[in-house]
Amino acid sequence: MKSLKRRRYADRAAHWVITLGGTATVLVILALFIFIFLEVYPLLQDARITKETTHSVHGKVISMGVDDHQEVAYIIYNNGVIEFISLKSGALLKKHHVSGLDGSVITSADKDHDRLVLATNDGKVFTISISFSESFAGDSRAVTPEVLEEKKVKASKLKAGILNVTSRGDDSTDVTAVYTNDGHLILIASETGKTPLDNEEKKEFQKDITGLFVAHSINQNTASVPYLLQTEGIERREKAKAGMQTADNSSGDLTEQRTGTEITSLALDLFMENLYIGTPSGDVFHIDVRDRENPYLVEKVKVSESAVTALGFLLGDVSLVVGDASGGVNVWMQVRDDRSSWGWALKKVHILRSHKAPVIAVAPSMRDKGFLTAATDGTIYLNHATSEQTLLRFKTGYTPVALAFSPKANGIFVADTNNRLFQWRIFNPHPEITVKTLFGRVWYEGYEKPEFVWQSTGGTDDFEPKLSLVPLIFGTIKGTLYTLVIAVPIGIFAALYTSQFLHNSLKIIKPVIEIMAALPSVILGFLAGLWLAPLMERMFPAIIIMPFFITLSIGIALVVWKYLPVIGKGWYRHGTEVLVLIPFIIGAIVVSIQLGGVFETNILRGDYREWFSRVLGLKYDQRNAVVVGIAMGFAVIPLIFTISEDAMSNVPKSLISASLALGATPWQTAVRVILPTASPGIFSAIMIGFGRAVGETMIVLMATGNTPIMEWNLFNGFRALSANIAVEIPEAPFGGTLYRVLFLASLLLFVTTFIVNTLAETVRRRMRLKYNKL
Amino acid sequence: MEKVRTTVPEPIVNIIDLFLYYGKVEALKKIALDISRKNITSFIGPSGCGKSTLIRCLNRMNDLIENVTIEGCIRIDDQDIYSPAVDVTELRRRVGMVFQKPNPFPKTIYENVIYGPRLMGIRKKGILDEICEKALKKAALWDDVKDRLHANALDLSGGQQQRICIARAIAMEPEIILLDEPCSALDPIATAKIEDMLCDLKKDYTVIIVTHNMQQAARISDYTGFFMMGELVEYSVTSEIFTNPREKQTEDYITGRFG
Ligand SMILES: Nc1ncnc2c1ncn2[C@@H]1O[C@H](COP(=O)(O)OP(=O)(O)OP(=O)(O)O)[C@@H](O)[C@H]1O
Ligand SMILES: [Mg+2]
Repeated sequence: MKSLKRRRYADRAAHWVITLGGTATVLVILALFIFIFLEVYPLLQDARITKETTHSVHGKVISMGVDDHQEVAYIIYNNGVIEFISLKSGALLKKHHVSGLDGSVITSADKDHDRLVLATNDGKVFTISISFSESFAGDSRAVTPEVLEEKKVKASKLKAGILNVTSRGDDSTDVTAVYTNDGHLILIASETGKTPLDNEEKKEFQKDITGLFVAHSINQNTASVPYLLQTEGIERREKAKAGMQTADNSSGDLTEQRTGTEITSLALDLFMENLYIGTPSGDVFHIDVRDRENPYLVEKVKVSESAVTALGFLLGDVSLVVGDASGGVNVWMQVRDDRSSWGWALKKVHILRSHKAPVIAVAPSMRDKGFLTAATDGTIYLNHATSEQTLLRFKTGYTPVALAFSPKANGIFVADTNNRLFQWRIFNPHPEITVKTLFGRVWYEGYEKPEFVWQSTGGTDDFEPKLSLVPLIFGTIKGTLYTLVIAVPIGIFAALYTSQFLHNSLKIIKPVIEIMAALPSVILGFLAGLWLAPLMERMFPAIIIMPFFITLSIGIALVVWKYLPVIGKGWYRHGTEVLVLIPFIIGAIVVSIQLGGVFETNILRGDYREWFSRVLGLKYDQRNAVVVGIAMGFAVIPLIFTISEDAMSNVPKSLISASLALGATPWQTAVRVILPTASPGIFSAIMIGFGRAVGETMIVLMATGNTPIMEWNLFNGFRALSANIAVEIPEAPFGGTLYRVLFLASLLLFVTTFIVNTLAETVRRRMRLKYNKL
Repeated sequence: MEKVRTTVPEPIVNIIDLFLYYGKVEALKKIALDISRKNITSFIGPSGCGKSTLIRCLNRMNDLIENVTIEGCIRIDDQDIYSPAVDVTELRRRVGMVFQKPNPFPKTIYENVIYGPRLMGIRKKGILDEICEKALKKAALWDDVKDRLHANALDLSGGQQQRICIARAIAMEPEIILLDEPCSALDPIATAKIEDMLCDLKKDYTVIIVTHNMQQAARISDYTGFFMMGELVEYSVTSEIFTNPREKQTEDYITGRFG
């Protein structure tokens, strides 16, 4: 009675412990999944506005900007007044007058970070700099704006008023291009250099370069369509004109076109080498200004059917955003092109959402390839060039006159003709990530065509991370495939031989191989990377001929075996034949190594690497896929071997007897009875091996060069998802895009293993169902 | 006491002074007997006396067991089957075997039956179908399974599985069929069918059957051997063994006074 009761308690306890354990496991896996997903989720979130505030402005705004924390904004009016207002209270903090203006009106401005270039209606050009300094008093932060007025460019020489200005400068050089109301394009440059006697020397140039494109316009353009198009362009500008001035490009009062052509927008890059000019006919002229005294026209590209109304660079000043009169927004850049005489050509690489009205301004983000575009109908779009998405759309209702991005790209400022200043705080942490940028071909700056690229960090501040997971997925597949190609046949055949043919006294081989499975993968990786890879590189020709000699030696062994006089029962037992093979195989290896050099000099003509690239067009890396395949094989073979050996050993002896009694040879029995009957086990063995190969990190990390390239070539490296996580996670700032993409990579691995395991289990169950009545 | 060697007409198998050791354990002791062609010979005897061991010697299934030593000689058609020149697979094709426990392959009924012919290289579906049908009919199973030839053989009952195994052996058209207690798992009707079948088979094949069922041995066999403790106690025409046994042990065993 008592013992029965106790047994019942034990039973119940066991039941609970097991249930608890099972549930806990499921919960942990679920929690893991949820945790990883939560880290990935922000990548998928859309950008959104977190706060909208409006302030009022008093006059015609030429340009504006804001500090890092979006606490203080400055507004530059056309009369030279700079207002600093607190964005918290709206209070006016400070007022500054640009000196030397003497009543002239600012018509255009160009802004590059802190540097602002202002141009006036009477031909003056000013360079000022506006910066913010932070000070801490206790807990509160105080932001103090500071205006630094620099030299006035020798503007007095310009007789005409300026309509449009673009300018870039650094410590020693300043280059400015202005378009005047008498139709001239003038390049103004100043360079400070050291003379041979170490004196500072300032050189100044001023050159009218109107001719560079006027000639062109008349030659090619004016002849066919130009006049109509030009007047149309003028009309549109006339319409859009009403008080419309933008940070980058703006227009003053139009005067008659004396030079017979017109410029709608200008953009000079920060290298002060390339000047782009937009025209009403939809052309962009690219002028090389490296030689300040002799700029020349590089090319003229038709970028739009309607007038080019806005030009602007993205961060890094390589990609050129072109906005046109019909609302189109496209991103162009210089792409290598053999057909062009100078090797490059301006090409349209990204097409963004169109506005419904002419685009009048472009403002780039200072953090990524994002930018704002504004159209005359008061619509403002937040775009990201590389991912080709329009993240947010705003509307002011009135034509915007000035547009600015906060330095951290988390705030957008727009002043409109209705004297309002809008401030939108935005949440947009991962604008560059879309399904397409992760898994599709993307056209990055500096690339000839859209490609799958993984390159998360670069040398410069304006480096754009390229986060395509495809090369990594490819790497994982390549590594797994080559591993399985090596491990599956070896593992299964070894298991078959061990379970069916090997003499019992030699079966200690099984625990030995099982110990191999317990070898830490870091050791395998280490050996593969530092010992096997160089060895293989040195003996590559020998290794190529090795399979041939080994096969040959096995053949010889078989023949010798057959004709050897019957061996006394004394030492020979069935299942020990394999020992006879060993000297033959060793012999074959020795012969291959001996002949490797001969093979290389005679057949491969001296140097195998050279032969490789010449005949096969392949590159040989020291740490390549074969090395990984072998090293990972060492990790995976024991798994496959042990599990399938168990499965094969468990095939009932009665089936084997039945087959043999029917006159089958042992091999026929192995193929027709043992393999199919053990197939569920072999299948799980392969799947477990697959799982190991997919997730294996240390070996791939150490045995490949970790280059994220996509080539099936056996003899170069790759970068696997898992190794990539290991490589990059120390570099990934917490919560950043890279950090989250790495989590996405791990999610991908997690889900893959999960799916493969589930699938494998289902298949295995089905197979078992077929055989479980044994 | 030297036993008289029973002579049989047209002997196909000659077993001459056969000793078999499992390691050091002697399992067969100086067995000497001849088996008559195209007749049914049955081996009876108490459990563990070596009947299975003996018939396994006839198709060399003992080769698979570790540490088996065989002395003496077995001749089939005047050829020593243990000589190195003999191809074991060929021998097993000629000497088919049905085991004590049903052991169909985890394949379809059809695949089970044509397993042997396939191994011999017969590929043509027509021929294989014919072989399958014929074998199943001989094994008295055709009517049971003709509609589900492609069902898994493991889905059949134990008795049906045993008949599949018989059909599988017959499909090979061996000269000699060894059956180790083939009916131990069968109901009387199926047993009767198998017995009829064996009597039929006798026309073409030599049948050697191990059985614990005295009636069965008496009913179907032409010759009977009685074994005990690894020794052949008595061997003669069936009717004689059952009606007029020479040895006391035989009489005790047959009449159930054994043990
Ligand atoms: N593989 C083996 N290894 C060692 N001893 C064995 C082996 N097979 C059989 N034996 C022994 O040989 C003797 C004869 O066995 P065998 O199977 O031939 O008996 P049997 O007459 O067929 O019995 P049953 O009627 O129960 O089938 C038994 O004592 C048994 O223990
Ligand atoms: Mg037996």
